[in-house]
Parts: sequence; C-alpha cells; structure tokens
Amino acid sequence: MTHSILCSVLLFIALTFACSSEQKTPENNTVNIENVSLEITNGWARPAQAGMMTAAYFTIRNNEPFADTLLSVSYAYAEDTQIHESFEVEGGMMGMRPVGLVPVAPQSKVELKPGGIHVMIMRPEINLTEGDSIDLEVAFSSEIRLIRVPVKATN
Amino acid sequence: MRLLLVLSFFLFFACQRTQIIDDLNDASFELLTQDSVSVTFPDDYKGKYVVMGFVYTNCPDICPLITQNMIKIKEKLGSPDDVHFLGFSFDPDRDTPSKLAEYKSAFRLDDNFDFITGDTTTVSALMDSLRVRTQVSFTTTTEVGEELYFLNHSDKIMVMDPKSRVIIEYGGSQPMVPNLIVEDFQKIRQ
Repeated sequence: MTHSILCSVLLFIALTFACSSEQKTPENNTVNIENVSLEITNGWARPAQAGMMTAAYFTIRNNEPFADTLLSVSYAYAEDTQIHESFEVEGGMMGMRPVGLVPVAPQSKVELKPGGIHVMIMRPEINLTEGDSIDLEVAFSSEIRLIRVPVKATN
Repeated sequence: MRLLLVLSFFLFFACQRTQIIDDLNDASFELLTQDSVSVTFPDDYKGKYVVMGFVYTNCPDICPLITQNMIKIKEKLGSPDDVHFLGFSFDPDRDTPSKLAEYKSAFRLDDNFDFITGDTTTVSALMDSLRVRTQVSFTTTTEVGEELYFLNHSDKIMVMDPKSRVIIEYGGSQPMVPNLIVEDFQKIRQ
C-alpha cells in the first residue's frame, strides 16, 4: 500500500515537471498559446530604429482538415503594419507588393520568410533592438492570436 | 606545342581572375556618408577593395538581406583593413545622411562600413555607370494617412578592386552570395 502511494506521488511529480518544462520552452522562441489546430512558430523581427521600416516573419501550420486564412497582422507601436511579398522582377530586379489575404490550406504550412511573404512594420514608435521582443496580433478567419517574437538580425 | 597549351591554360585562368566588369577609374562622383562627410567616389577608396551593395532604407525585406549579406562577407573575410564596405542608397530624396545613420545604427556597424548617397543627379549618374535600375512598384497610404512609395530595384552586391575596377558582381540578397564572394575574393588575392 505504502509502495503504491509512493509510486503515485513520484508519478505526479514527474508529470508536473514534464508539463511545466514544455510550457517554458516554446518552439524557436515564439511565445504562442498552445493550440494544436493552428500553430505559429519560428517568429522573429528585424532590428530597427524608431521611425524606420522593418519586417517580421513566422511560420503558420494549419493542422485542421479545413482551410484558414491569414487576414492581417498588427503591431500596436507602429504607424501601420501590412502583409507584403518580395518577388523577382524581370531583369535581375527585386520588388515588393501588398498581399491581401494569405490562404492557409488544410494540413499545410505557410512560411513568412525573408525574400518572400513578410509582415512589414512601418515606422515603429520605439527602437526594436536585438534581444528585445515584440507582440504581434495575428488575425485569422478562425481566430485572433497574440504572439511574442524576438528581435534579432538574422534567423 | 605542349608548352603553348600550358601557357594558354595559365593565361585563361589569369584572365578569369581579373575579369573586369566595369572600370570606374576615370569616373568621379561627389557623395555624402551617413555622417554628412563628403566623399569622392571612387577616388577616395583607391588602394582598397570596396564591397558595395545597393539599398534604400524604406525597404524592409530585400535591402536588409543585402546589408546582412555584406555583414556576413565582412565577418567571413575577418574585417580586413584593405576592404571597405559601402551601402549605396538609390533613394536620395528620402535617404538623407541622418536616415542612413539610423539605418547603420540598427545594424550595429563599425567605421569600416558606410552608407552613402548624394544629390539626385549624381545618384542617377552613378546608377547608370553601374547598371543599377529602380522603378516605383507601388504606393500605399498608411493608417495615419501618409503616402509611401516602394521601389523595384536591382539586386546587387559588387566588389571593386584597388584600381576602381568592378571585378565581382552577384545578386545581393541571395543566401549563397557571401560564400561565393568570399571564395572569389580569396582567389583574386592569392
């Protein structure tokens, strides 16, 4: 009897530590409320002085059997935040264009990454310094998610 | 005959190493650094290699990639004294020296890495010399009602030798470019 109580206590302690350590180490530093249906990982933002232009990036994974859509991303301390896409123009030139909506197909992932789709943060009110982190509000057709991403020069 | 073949082989590789893409030896452009210091390009950089990227500070994605690639080249080369790094802004109306100073500060760059620009006429002339092109891609109005324009632009990092000749040129934002330029550099300096 004593042995089984001791085992139960040890099991409880082990499970408690396992769960707490999982919560403290979100994948790739992106703080993201645990949600298995829609995951946002690998988030980061480039450093910038206040008043400059910069960009943020992250990966969206849709684990649901139905499609979702990224509608918008906003950063409270910026003049504006828009979703843009860099693309190759003919003649060795690169360009950028606004992206209205970003479809996220069922059971798929969409990467917002340098040289591709990105969140353009226009004229932040504060310096974004390497080592800091910023909060972004990410709106999908299914839900609105708040994420915290680190500021760093490269990923 | 065999000697001729061997000689041709060496000459071929010697020519490969010193291929001249553009010669700016006779050119002269009056520009300003991010600290509002006047420089004459390329005269003030003669005797050094110059790694030069083409950017504008309202560009949030591709131009930081170009700048970051230049930083990687600098790090991989070990920041040698005989190589100077220049970020040339092709958007002189908005990229004033103070804006360029803010941009440089965001990347935490040292004295060996400058951003330069000039008046509209000089900037256009230098762009023509180096085959750098831009065109307005789109304009947008921010939430506070300000209209902003963005540019399609050449994606380029080039290397100029101590005689002001452009000898290396690659797509500036591409991820493999730092390694390619460093490899080319090492061959040239052997």
